[in-house]
Amino acid sequence: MVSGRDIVDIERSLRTRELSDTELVASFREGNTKAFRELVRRYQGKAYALALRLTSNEADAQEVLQDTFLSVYRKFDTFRGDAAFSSWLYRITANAALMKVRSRGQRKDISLDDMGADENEHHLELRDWSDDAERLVMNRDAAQKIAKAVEQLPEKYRVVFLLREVEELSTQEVAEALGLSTPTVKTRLHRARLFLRELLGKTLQDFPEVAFSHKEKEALETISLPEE
Amino acid sequence: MKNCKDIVDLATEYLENSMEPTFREEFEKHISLCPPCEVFFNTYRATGPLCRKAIARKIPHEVQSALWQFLEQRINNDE
Repeated sequence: MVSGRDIVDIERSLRTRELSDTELVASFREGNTKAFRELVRRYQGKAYALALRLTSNEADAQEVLQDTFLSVYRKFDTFRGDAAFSSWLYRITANAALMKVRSRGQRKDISLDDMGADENEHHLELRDWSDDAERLVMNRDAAQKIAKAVEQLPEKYRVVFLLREVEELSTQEVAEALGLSTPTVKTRLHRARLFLRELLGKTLQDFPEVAFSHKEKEALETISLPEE
Repeated sequence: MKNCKDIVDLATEYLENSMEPTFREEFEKHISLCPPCEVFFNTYRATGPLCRKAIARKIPHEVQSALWQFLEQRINNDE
């Protein structure tokens, strides 16, 4: 049995879902904690996904998520609204996640150059695997390898790549979230894409359903880049 | 568009729509006439969406419940 009060709550809830982030932010400023709850509901999944990809650890990601939203609640007065709420939230999430990783001394990044990510060696490719992408992600092992490849990116490239390509923020929003200039975001994004593209091409060779032909493999192994 | 290296260097500018229309046309023309560049660009462009699909993760229900519990407790303590 649904009571009259339940219906009012449901109607309120439906109205809340239609509100923009800006409206929710304004409502929370006026003391409406339901607006805060809606912001949490709206962004908890995205914040968790980012935290998980930056920490590579589920327990750490959960702690980062909790710390993030507690910070949002406690420091809401410091949010001036110059940038989007989402940019501010992603900035808090990324900072909390990176601090967690550093505090545990979990990883030592190797530079992309040391990982063989030379921009001059990225061009030549014999096979266009872009059409096989759908099939590749359906394969659990392949998907895990791709996730590992993303984890291999040094921190400053990974956070930019995740925000732009995975969370689908605009370049400007990424710049705002991380406090970087737009050209810096573009440069890091470019290097991250080049590095991952190269790694994905190699990964494809391990999966029969999208494998290179024997002839193509031989050609890849013997290929050398032309002089400019 | 001078050469194939320009395609590599400017691929992000192209995808971000931050290229002058004339350069954009030259970029597209070069790709249509140069098979290695076409392959490069197709795979470069597919990299982000492929990673997005491969690493997509939903927040587990228990993580959501723990978050609400945590926030309720801390916020009540604050007040």
